[in-house]
Amino acid sequence: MKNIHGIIYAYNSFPELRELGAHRTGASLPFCGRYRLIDIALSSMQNAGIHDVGVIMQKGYQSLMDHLGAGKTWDMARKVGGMNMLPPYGLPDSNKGFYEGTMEALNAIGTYLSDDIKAEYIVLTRGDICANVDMSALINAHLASDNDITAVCTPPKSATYVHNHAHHRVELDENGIVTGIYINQTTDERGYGLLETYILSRAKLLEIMRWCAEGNRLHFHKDALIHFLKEGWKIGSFIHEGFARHITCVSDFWDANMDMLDPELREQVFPCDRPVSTRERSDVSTYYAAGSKVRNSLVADGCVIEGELENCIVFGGVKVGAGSVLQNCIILHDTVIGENVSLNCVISDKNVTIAPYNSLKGNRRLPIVIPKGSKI
Amino acid sequence: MKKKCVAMLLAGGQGSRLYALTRNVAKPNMPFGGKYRIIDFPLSNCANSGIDTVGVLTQYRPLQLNAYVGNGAAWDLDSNGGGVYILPPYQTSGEQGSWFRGTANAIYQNIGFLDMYEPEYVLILSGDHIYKMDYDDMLRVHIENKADCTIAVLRVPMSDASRFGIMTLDDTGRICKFTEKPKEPDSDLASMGIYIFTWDKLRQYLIEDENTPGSDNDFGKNIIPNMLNAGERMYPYHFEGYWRDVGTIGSYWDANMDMLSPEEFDLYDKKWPIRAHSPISVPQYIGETANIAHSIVTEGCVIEGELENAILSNSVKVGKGAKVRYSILMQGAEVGDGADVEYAIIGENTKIAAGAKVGEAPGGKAGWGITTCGPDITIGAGCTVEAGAMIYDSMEAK
Repeated sequence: MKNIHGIIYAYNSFPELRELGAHRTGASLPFCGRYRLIDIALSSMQNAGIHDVGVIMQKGYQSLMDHLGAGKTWDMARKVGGMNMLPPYGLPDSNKGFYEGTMEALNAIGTYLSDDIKAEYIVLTRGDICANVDMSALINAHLASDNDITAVCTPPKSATYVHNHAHHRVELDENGIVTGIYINQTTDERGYGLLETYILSRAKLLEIMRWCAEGNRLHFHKDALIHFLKEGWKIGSFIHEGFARHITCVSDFWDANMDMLDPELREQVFPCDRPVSTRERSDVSTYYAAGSKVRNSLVADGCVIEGELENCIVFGGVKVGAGSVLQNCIILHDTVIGENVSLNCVISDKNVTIAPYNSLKGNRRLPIVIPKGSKI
Repeated sequence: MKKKCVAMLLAGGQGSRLYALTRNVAKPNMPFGGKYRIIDFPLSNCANSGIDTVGVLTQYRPLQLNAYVGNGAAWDLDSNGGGVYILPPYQTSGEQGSWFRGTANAIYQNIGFLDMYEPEYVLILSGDHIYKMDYDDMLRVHIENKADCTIAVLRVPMSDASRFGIMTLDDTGRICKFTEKPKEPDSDLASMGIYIFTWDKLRQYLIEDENTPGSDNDFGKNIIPNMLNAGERMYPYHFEGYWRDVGTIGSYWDANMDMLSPEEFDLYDKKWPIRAHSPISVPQYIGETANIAHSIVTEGCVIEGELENAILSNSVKVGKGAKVRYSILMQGAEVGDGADVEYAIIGENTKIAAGAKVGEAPGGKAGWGITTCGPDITIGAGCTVEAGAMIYDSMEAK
């Protein structure tokens, strides 16, 4: 797919992610024991044969840069094209601290899109969306249609797309063409969900960018999409049936990770024919001691488990001491939990140390988050 | 390009005493200790010792091994100026080329490769041992001794000495005698099959040996005795620590089980990491009905049964009510619901169907042994595979 360029928004993290978003963007949130959310968007592109991808970043991107490297994991370290990190260009008039909307972010990389790349089509997506979209089918559907834009939508009242927050929705006619756009909906009463993933020609995107830049319009949905729909553009749809989440707060993070304990949902995110790649940590296998007890948990490599786990997601390099009991926990990389610790509904960030005999109990709706590097 | 030291890894052996397990792959490519393959150990040792140029000599069924080693990136050996090179036997004009006839002949046939690097020293390794060694320290000793050849040696129990190549030292610590598998050993220093040679010397002996009719073209049988007889400076490098040859079913099984005991061999030591070329799979899922004790499990596995003293490679599935004890399950193996696997080695992608019984615990029975099921076969539902059996082909369900 030489003629298609991917753009991934990875520039923000929501304040509702609390400590989890303090050191990283939404796109680099850890997921399912070993991944970062952006792995899914990148792998979707890789699986569709897209090797040229720009990642828009703005702040707090050290963790993201570290994870992406040169893009080799996704076959995006190429002699020509490949992965491009797109931090702000530092134009004097775009120095407002943060991008307020996706159009501002796109206009900040305006010359990249207008001059640097030559691809005819652009696929836009978010790095903090957890949905393994079949982009190959999306591209084929768009190329076979006369749509100006094709939007990835989730089915009405979808069991797999859960909305804990305001999101955008669309009304579709019987041919799947968008007839109306609903901004910032808090329920799924009306229409189809928007996954904020689109394909359109670069020419159309540049037209949208020009129109937005002229009127200082910042938002892709609220400003551009509504305007161009009125102008008579044909906005088609591509329905994504599988698991889909937009991770914007701690409970989104919690739910999406815990959902991966369900084999069917796990298969929707990690199907055999569209695998998800991630940076290899070169960990050892995980060792389960005699006396350990593990139930319904996902455990990455490099762990030493001597205690008990139930309904847990455990990332690489974690140690759980003898006599410790962890229930409903998400334990990020290299956390060391001493002996006889009791944790329930706890999210431990990376490199946390918990001394023996500690006890912490959160709630499913309000899990306790232990910040990165803490010592308890 | 001039290099101080180039490693040559002999990885062409069939491993015929592993029977069904090496029917389709060379021994160095055999899974080991969960996520590793045997060749990961010498390659990781090279990377950790700062040796950046490694020739891997392949011959027997090399396809999977070639794909596994790739460009050496998994061991961080894909550097500019260095790298991992697969060296198969090749055709030459006139003589037409030939298979590697012995360990020394394999190096002889690749003199051209070594000459490209003009190394001062050559490190000879084999692809069938499990150990951690700092080759740089061995090189330091070689240089200090102004040696022509340094042989890594390990103290073995006198009763075992007749299974090894045995070194005898003189008063100054120099090797004065080398006997391959002596009936009455006079020393307990066994050769580990790891040599450092000063390249100019070795080059000369390789050419001489090649021109000697009837020679086995083997390091242990020819090159080392010839050098000793000629009075070259040959020294031991004393190694202490874990080292195992995994050439037989029994020793392969034993060494795998040792990986469960970090005090024997610590895979978790971050200072000397053993690296592997791993597929990226989803973390292991441990189900509601699982029970795991004293076992190693790797990514991609789905465990719903019981494991005890088990070593699992990537993407192994163990069904509900299944029991796996004192066994090794290689990549992609599946154990069906209620099946029973004890003291067994199950090859890659082999399926043990529901209710089948493979192997049994030692109970003083004559002829007891580890049970082995080769790769890519199915043991049908309800079948029984007896202790000590070696299974090459699928068995129909009962």
